[in-house]
Amino acid sequence: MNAGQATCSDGPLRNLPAYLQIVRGRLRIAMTYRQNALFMLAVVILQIFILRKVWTALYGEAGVVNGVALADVLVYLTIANLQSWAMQDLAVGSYLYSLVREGRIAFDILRPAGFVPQMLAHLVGGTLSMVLFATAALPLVALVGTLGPPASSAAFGYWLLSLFFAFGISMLLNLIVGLGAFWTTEIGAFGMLFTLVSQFLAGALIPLYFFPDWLRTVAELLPFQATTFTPVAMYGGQLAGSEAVQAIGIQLLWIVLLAGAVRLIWSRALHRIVVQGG
Amino acid sequence: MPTLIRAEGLTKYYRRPRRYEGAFGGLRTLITRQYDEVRAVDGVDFTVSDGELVGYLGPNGAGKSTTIKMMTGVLVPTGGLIEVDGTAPWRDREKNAMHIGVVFGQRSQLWWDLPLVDSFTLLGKMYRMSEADYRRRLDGFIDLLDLGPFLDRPVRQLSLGQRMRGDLAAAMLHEPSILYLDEPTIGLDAVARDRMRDFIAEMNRESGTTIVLTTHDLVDVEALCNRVVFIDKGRVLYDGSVVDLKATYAPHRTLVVQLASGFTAARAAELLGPEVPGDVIADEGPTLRIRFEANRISAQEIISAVTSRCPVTDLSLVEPELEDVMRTLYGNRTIAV
Ligand SMILES: Nc1ncnc2c1ncn2[C@@H]1O[C@H](COP(=O)(O)OP(=O)(O)OP(=O)(O)O)[C@@H](O)[C@H]1O
Ligand SMILES: [Mg+2]
Repeated sequence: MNAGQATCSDGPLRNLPAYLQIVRGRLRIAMTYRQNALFMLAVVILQIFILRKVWTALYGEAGVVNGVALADVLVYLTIANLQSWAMQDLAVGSYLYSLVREGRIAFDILRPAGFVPQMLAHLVGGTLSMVLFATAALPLVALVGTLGPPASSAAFGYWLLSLFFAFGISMLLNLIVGLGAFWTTEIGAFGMLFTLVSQFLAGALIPLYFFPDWLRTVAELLPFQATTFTPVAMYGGQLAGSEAVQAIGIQLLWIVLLAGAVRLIWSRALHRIVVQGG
Repeated sequence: MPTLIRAEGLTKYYRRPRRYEGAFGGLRTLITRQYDEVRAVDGVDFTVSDGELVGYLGPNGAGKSTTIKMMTGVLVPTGGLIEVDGTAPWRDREKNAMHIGVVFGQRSQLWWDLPLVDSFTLLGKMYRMSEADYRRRLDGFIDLLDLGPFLDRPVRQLSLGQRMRGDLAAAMLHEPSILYLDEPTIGLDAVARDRMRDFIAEMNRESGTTIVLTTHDLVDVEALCNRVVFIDKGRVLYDGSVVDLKATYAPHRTLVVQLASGFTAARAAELLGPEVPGDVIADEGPTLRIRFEANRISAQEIISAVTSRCPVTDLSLVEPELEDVMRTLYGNRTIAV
């Protein structure tokens, strides 16, 4: 056999260059299709604008509700929506669906690298490009919405750390939605439902501290709040000190749980892989 | 030659979920699990030796692609044995992947939105090639498949023929020892087909790559395969050389005789009488056809019998077409070999 010989190191990181190349490719695709992303970004900015108007009207004459000032809510909503937009990249999810539907998944399965890490690399690349777009849009967002400094330098640090984990959680969630492709060939209605529900439960439309108690309990039992509410509430200082540390612990717990779920789902998907067409 | 691929009683049944249409149809399909069973591959036996180029043929829906998918390791068989180089390909896909290249003519492994060369760069890293190996191989394929002119164009802008060449290079870049080609010439024009065939033949001859090829183009088969495996309805109908295949299923050759002017075919037929073993078909005018069984009488004997009795201006011998074989084979599908 004149097999393609392995020339690089054989450690667990031997496929890292390939994964990085996937990330690079995703970034290039995002650049190619930037009009599309910019349009979606415009929609989010509009959403931020509307939310600002709605919440300002809701507050009316009241300066502080439930101990939170209007200005703080507006900053929260602006950051939360921009963040959750960058995380809600269903491009890779629908890419997975198209892979399965068109049978192209055969090629990705037949690589000398794991399928799940490959898809994660796609997700990292997709998310990274969304973050770049979101960052570029910051000046406009500041104009339309309300931006303000973090509550303290510690709050800023917590926010950054927690944001990092938040991206991890949302990527795993997106991966799980994508893996649904092995059970159903259409993402359509389900994908939209997922986006809507997860956005709501993440606290992107209404901060969690305004949820009725029962709903807040539901939201806290689900991973979505850890993607948006947790980091943004840290930014505004509503979540600080030991509470913040605990929230980060919960994020890590979710990462472990969701990674386990991905493993489980993937091992079941492997058993039922059917490659369409031929 | 050592055996490289072995299939014994290989079986794949698909379970096709009953689908529901309309809004949330997908969700309903997900919840209510009812299946129809399709026997795509139904007890197939064959072996492929190192360095062989085998045609895996059969009508639409015969189970060719399904078998290829099991050989590559994408699909897990429902039953039976499949071994490539001593191991079940689906058990260790990642290891198996290092040694195989795959082209599914119907779809592309290239990165649709990016320049062609980006797909190659990724493959270079994926298969952990050294920079030098990667450059050398890529340059080789750029030459061999003339990829230069469109290397920097996004794949979605390529013509089918160009894309297919890109896909072939992508499948071969890591120099696999086995190449699976599922309809690699589909949709290509005559020139592109020729070029594709030359490339496939060269890979087999020069690099010793073992190749399993499915195609509906019989010219591909005649040009490339010494050996063919015919399947239908998931079962093997024939396994052997193309020559034997023709001898078994299309044993007739036809001698076409142009008679000198004034000499009618009907008269020639009379003169030849029953001495010539074969069907004498007398057309109007000066053309005579004699259909004979190649394994009972040689062309030489027939020709001398004809030329000794009639004035002949031209002779030609028509070989059986593989297409005739297919018709015979598919016509009586119960033949066992
Ligand atoms: N994913 C699938 N789910 C259910 N049935 C399938 C699936 N894929 C193929 N089949 C069925 O299995 C049988 C064999 O299909 P396969 O694709 O292997 O045929 P083929 O020989 O490649 O045909 P063709 O020459 O048309 O490409 C067909 O009856 C087909 O309808
Ligand atoms: Mg097929």
